[in-house]
Amino acid sequence: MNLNANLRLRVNVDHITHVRRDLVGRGNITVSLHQEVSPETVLGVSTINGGFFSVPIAKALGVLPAGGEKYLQHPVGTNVYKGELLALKRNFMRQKLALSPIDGVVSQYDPVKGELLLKYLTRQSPLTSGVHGIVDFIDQDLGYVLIKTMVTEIYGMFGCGNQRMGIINVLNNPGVILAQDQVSRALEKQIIVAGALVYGSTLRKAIESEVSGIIVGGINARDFRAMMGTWDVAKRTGKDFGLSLVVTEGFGPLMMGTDIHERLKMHNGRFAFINGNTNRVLLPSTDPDSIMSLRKVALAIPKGPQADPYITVSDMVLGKKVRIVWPPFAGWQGKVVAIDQTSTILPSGISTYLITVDMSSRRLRVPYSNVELV
Amino acid sequence: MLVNPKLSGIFDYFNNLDDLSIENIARWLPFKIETHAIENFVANRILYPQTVPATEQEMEIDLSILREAVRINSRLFYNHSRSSIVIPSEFEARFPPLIKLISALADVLVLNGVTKIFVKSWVGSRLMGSIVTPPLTQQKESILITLSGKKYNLVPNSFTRFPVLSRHEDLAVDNSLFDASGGRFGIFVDLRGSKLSNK
Repeated sequence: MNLNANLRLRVNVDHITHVRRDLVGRGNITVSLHQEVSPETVLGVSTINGGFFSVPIAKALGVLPAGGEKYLQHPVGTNVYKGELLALKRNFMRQKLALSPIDGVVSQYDPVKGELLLKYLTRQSPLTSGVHGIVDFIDQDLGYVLIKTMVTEIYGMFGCGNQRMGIINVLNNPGVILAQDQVSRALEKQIIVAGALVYGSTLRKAIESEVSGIIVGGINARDFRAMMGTWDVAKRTGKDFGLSLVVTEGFGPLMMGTDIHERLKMHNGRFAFINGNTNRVLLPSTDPDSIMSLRKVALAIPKGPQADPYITVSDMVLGKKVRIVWPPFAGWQGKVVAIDQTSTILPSGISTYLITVDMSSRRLRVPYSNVELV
Repeated sequence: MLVNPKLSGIFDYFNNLDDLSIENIARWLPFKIETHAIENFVANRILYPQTVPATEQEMEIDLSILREAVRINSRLFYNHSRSSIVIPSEFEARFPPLIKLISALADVLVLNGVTKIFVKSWVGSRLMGSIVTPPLTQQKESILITLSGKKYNLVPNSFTRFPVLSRHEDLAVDNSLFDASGGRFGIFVDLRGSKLSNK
């Protein structure tokens, strides 16, 4: 009797792939094709214009809009820095002043509104590699580089959001729900490993706090639908809502699988990539000797979207590692130690074969169709 | 295009499970459950279609999902002009017992008179039985059924199965006569009148 189960690839260790690094804004790629890079190598430099900021000078000084300009302390075209004096009005008894809230350039004074327009200082933003690798492709027009590198690739079940990068921060154990007060500005630009569940309200706070990404075991279907318009993951289109989310198990509070959680813990505090639209987390290898393997491997330059993670149907045999995918023990993992030879009628009325799964703390008998091979 | 093979399940027959009304699913259930739990249940069924219910509660939820899925996809299962229901062969094993499955389908398909039940498999469609839905014009304490020469008093609002194998059976309900079809499923008599589907 052959029992089949899905075999789903979730962790692909030391996998050679391309990572894409994009300039932010207009700039210039400075590396050359086939150049070997390390994480601190600068790939290119871009110039970022931050926009404008209006300062209500007339209101601050208590004067008519048309009369504010004569109190300015910096002429148009000069640089000012945060906290510097912008305008000063003295009279017999007291003085009123306005300070610069930003680093910028004095652009122009509006005599109708009584506002001074400051232009943010342009700044140079270097793009670093972040990985050990070899430059495989350069696009100067679009400002990006493909680097062939060695990574540990983690595949979730579904997700949403564009590719982002950041430092992995394992906040919770696999079975813990991420609390809203755990999220703050201190987590800016980080990729949080959240645990079993993240609520929609916590996601919104994470977006406000400029968190790069969240990896979590589960999310409520209504929160996912609020972002994507559907809870059928096959129907989602590539969307971005301010951060990148990868869900590893399914819908509802589901313990993150230990195969993924342990791998993320090993990478805690290190740089990583996350792409919710392709359900992937890339953990770059920190071994500089990985370059030697990369030199021997040629990869085709990808022209379109990445292929879906590997999944196939395989036989259920003793000793195989499995993941329970249906509650109440969804997310738990263990080894198959027994396969029933006769069917059992469950309380639901279904007649099926049960398998015994040995986990570290207990043994469970579950229907074979409610597990997947890992 | 390379397609990775993976196990499928009953709910793969439907490609619009995310359009189901959660409130309607909840109304069929004989127990209280939070709507967000039903949403998660449906979404996980889509994500893991090969899984099966282990408990009675889970089976009730699956039957409720089936009802609503059949309701919005009735043309896939019900041929109005031929008064016939066609269901995939996998439904019988997936939604036991049989009477609950047929009752669930009758809940949401607007049936009148005799409706034949066919089961479709790779060898073709086979007639398995029929549902008799007589018009009920007045409230009574019991309803007299005559089948195969025997008389039965059925309770109003009941759904009853008669294990009859023959292809043609005369079934009388009060003064109405029906040419019902038996088979492995038998003949079902639906005296439930107005159901949720009609609301």
